[in-house]
Amino acid sequence: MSPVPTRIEIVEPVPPEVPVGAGVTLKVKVAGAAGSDLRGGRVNVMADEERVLSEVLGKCRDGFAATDPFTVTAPHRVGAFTWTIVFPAQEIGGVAYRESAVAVASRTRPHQTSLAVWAVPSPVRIGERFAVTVGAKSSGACAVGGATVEIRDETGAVTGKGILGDTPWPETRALYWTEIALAAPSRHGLFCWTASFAAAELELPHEGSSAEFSFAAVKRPEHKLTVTVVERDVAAPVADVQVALGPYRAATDAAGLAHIDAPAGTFELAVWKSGFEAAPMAVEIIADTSVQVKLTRLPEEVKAWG
Amino acid sequence: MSKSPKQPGAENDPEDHAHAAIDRRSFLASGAAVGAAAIAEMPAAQAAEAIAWDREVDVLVIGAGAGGLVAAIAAREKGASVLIVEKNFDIGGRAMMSYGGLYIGGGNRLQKAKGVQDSPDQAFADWSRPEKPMGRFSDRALVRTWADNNLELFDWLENHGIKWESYRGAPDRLDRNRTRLNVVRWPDEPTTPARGSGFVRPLEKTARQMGIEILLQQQMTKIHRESPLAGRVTGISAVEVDNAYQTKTRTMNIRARKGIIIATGGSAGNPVFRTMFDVRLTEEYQAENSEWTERTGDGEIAAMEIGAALGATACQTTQDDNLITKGRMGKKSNGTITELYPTSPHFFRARALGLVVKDYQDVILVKENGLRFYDETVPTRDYEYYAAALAWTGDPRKLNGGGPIWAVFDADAVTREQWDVKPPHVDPNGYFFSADTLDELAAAIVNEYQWRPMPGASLRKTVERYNAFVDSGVDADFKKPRPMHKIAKPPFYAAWHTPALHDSYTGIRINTSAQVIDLRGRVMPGLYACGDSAGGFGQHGICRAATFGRIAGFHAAAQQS
Repeated sequence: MSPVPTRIEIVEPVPPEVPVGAGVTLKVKVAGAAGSDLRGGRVNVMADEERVLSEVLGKCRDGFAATDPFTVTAPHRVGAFTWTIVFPAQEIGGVAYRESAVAVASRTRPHQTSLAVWAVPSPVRIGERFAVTVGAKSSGACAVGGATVEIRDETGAVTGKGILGDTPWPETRALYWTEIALAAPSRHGLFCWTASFAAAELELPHEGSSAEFSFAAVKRPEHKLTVTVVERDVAAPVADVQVALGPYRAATDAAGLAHIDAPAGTFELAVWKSGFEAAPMAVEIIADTSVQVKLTRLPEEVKAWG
Repeated sequence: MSKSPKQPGAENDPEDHAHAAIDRRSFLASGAAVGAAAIAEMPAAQAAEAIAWDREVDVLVIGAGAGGLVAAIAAREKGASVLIVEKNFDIGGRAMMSYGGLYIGGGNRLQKAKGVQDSPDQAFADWSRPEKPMGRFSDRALVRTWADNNLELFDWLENHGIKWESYRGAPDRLDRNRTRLNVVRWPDEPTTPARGSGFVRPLEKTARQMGIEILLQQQMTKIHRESPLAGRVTGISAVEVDNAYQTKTRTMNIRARKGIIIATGGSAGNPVFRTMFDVRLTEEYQAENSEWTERTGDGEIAAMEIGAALGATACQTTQDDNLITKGRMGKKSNGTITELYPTSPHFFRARALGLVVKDYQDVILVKENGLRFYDETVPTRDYEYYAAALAWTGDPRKLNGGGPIWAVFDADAVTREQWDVKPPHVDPNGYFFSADTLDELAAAIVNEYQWRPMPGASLRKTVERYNAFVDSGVDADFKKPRPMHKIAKPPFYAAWHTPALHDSYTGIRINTSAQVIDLRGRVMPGLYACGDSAGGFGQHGICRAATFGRIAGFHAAAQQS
């Protein structure tokens, strides 16, 4: 008796593009002639003529025996790939079945990367050393520890490098990070530098990424400014007020006091606390000095919800 | 002291046309009747529908919120048999999640004890003043009625179980001489800081003690009238609904011998209805307090289907007050300050407590495209903010509405605000996301109203630019006061912070007896409306509902069967 012909199909289509090394979920079903029971039969996943996986046909529905969903790892190189899913000629329950096969085609793409830059001190003092923290993330959550990240200044010159550590930053899934020491610019002003990650040294192909970060560079401070913040009308000190003198920032303590070291010059002094308001004021620093700021409490109606 | 055109509990008066707040003379003189006159007169009352009534009652109240409970008690007090049908599985309506304050004064006992000078005349003057849009566009006959009923209502509510906590610290909205009077919160209600339970729970207790039956999970589907657009209203049809307001198979017809009072909570939760007044208010904007009530305009629609007009529709578009609110963030039903605890049987609708932003220096707000659009620190009643939030962002399929607004912040902001960014405080199912980088945060946002993936580069550039403003001290884009904090430290977060819809300030047109008025300015005999379902008086909160609920209950009970 000649073997029974079979037909093999993929239950769900494979995405046209998947990241390198990604797990691709497949489900396969095979049918024979009417009345065939293919449960217990095998199907093989072939890549480059090598068998990479073998699955067993289980549940039977609508004349087909199907596998459970199973995962096949996509190639680690970027480009088109084809898998052949084969139901090899085999005997099941004393019945011989013919081989059938179906091809699965897709493409791999590199993983993406992205960066975060934090703990950037601002302002930094001209000519002094400072450090920033840089974290890199692979979209595939790959371990990118050991790879290099660079910092470039506004001209594109490399100003610092760091090697990503092997432990992700707390509370993150896979953000590998490093601290990079840098030299502050030799002139004052606002600067926008770039962290970049070539992602070239990794096991799987990744696309590189970059992120900008900014900071102010200032002269060495010469004077101390003491800011006292009180509530208008009641003259009570106000704590936890954000105080900004130009690029310098501080917060008031329980006594309503904030201390800022600043160079000589004229700066805008701004304060902020939610629920209050005060207009910014100009402050000229020529020596150690003190300033009082009066906050006006906003009316309830302005803050109201309902 | 001048009196309102009609006092509550008025004698039975079948010829109520003459008592409509918009009486025929003024209505004709206003020119409003020109269009109406052009409409052919409907034939006289046609034969009533042949309806098999399952229940009969004197006064039928639709909705067991603040207005409905007050109306039911008032009608019962005057000797009527009363039945309430309520769509939810609990009473309370919009008021349950309310802060629980009433704009009530006029010179009551509590005011006198504090030395506050007040009178009904003063209350009317405050709430009809033209320099505030809510006073400008309200029907002054209704404002006058509210003012003239303040003192009686204060005593009446006390006598029916309401306990007063105290007046708030400062005048609010149109008040100049009084503040909002808070009720005492009902013990053990799993909401806070809301005191609204302290209004509806005592009234529920009183209502049940008075023999008022409350049928829960019954959705009114139709109000019956003697003929489609004429004659008395005769009753309603209702269908049983489940906890998701899905209709079940059991229906009933309930005859109302004296009156039907609509108290269904307004229309803020119905995008089709609310876009009649403001086409920008599309489906992504959620109605406040939707945990207790859908606010889908059921009463308004049913009344309009049998001829009712809407009242003072300008109140809905004043761009004043709290028609829209910033609300909480990190949850879908984000429109209220009230926290609904996970122990509440209603929590399945809230899905999260939500986060309150104490200081908008801690977040930036971006649209679906990852771009900022306004100074985040502006107060919740700044309507230029909402105009920017509701502006078109580029969706070719969606020209009205502004799409989702996302609050974006970092780990340092979480520390400063002391937020707990895990459930049940946030809803990770489409309304709160976190990621290791900003690019990945943008990609992580998957939400039913986010029409495309947020471009990661766009969000990153937005944050980089904002962080540079922190260094320069100047928000060159939107003039946020001295940006203070960078968004830099991972992980990063995106929380749903789309504006939410607050009050319904238009609704069914009523007169000073809370009788519903039709498109020709005529009273619709036997039909009443109150609360957010009724239009004409742009006053936020419970007192408006209670005032006209009480008037409706008294008036309906006085009708002949």
